[in-house]
Amino acid sequence: MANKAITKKQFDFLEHEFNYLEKEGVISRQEKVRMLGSYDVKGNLNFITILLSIGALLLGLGVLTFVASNWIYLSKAVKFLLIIACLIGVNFAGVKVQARFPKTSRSLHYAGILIFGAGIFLVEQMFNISINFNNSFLLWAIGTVFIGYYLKDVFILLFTSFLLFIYLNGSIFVDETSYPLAILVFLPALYILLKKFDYPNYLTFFINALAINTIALFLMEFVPKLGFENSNTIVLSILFVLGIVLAYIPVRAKLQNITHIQGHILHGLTALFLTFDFSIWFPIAYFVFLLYLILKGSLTSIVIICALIFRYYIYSFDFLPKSLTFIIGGIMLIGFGFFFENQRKKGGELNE
Amino acid sequence: MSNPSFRPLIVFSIPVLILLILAFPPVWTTMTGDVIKIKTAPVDPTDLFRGSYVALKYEIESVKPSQVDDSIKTEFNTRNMGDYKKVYVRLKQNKDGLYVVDYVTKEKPGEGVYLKGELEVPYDLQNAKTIQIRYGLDNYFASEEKAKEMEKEALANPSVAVVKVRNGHVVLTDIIIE
Repeated sequence: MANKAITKKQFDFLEHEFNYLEKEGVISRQEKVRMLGSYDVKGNLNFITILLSIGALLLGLGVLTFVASNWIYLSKAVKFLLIIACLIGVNFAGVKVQARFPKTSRSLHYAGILIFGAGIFLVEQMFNISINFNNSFLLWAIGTVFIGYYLKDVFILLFTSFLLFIYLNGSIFVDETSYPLAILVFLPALYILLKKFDYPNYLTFFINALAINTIALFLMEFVPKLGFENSNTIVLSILFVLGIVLAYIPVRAKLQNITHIQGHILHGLTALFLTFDFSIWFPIAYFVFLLYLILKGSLTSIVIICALIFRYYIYSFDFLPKSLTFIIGGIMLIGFGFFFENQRKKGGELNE
Repeated sequence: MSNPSFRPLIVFSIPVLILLILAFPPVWTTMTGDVIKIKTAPVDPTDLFRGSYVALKYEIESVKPSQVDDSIKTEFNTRNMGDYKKVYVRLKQNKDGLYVVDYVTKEKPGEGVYLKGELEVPYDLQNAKTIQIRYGLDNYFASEEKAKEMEKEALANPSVAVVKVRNGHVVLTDIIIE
């Protein structure tokens, strides 16, 4: 059995209680030690980590804004060499102090990543290169993903996926010859890393979102080329189905919660837009489906149903007396609030 | 490579290598390329990451259909409308010493000054009035005050871009306002 991770506070409480039970003779000393041994204290964000991270952030931002300010008193070559020297310097220092000061070492590497980004923008500025801005972010992501893997650092990988979001969505603004194809290499690599890191929640959410984003973007790009009349509806419908599939797809336990919630969010959002495209049967059928989900204890569905009702509720302003509209709105919100509280009270597996 | 002390060396060399690779072609072009001057006119925006720059328009960006090689006209049809296609633009010097477009081809010219460009395929390539080509020379980065100043002066006076060229690769090195 793997040890369960709990916070320091929870651990202290357990220890206190087990001491009490031992003193009262309910459990033996060995039992107490064995029971406490099945828990691990989670590493909390402590003061030093926060201090060091903010320091790294300030340092990196300083270098980035220094590049952006285009300071004329240093020649371009000097600036470039300065950046390269800083980059090598912080990373070398980081590796050197890794064993003795792991937290300081980590923050030096964070600063290194920001300085690397500054370097990319500096080169473009120096030579007046006007490449598409999203490619700068791709280069930045390529550098950071290896560092994230080497340091086994979730934050660096989160930052990498953030850079890839910019790369991916920035491509909408550039011409049609530059599809963000590099994402197709990055996504499988990120999923392999996710598995190696044992599926941390935030990272799972971001990488899944990146994958959904990619699918949506490619659909929006290629479906209109097929020449159908209502390509928008087709794209939304495909994403809607994808959302439903994601909400039910059997994946390994650690991925399951996040993936299913994202599925619900996706079909919820697309359904809202689809209500404008389809006739009344669609919202009604979807409403019934949501009620079924809520009865099964899905909290995400309550939010979607609120949004769906709100979308029709806005129209009712036009043909209902104002006071009646407010009263209906109030009753609806209180009703859902009550339902929410009631479901929560029941507890259990209501986290989807 | 499985030696553990090598791994950080490899991992942390990647960013440095990327920067060097990114910088090498423009450095090489700047060091070994020919200098040409092209007529230009600016407008001024700001880039959040790269700082202030002067956005430039060039005379050589619009070409007449008669200057475009027939092979391009037949190959790039309306299906490609809005796409950018790779072309080579051969330049010639006019009597003021500035470079202007001679002709546009698909094949690399064997001699003379030429630029690599991307041609925007218009709706009707045969009969379009002008055809747009871009060269990646659109931005000149400068400090905020200098960018503003240049923009103001250049709007009143004609300005010239100093460009280094080698094998079709270009680096914008300076803007001269006359």
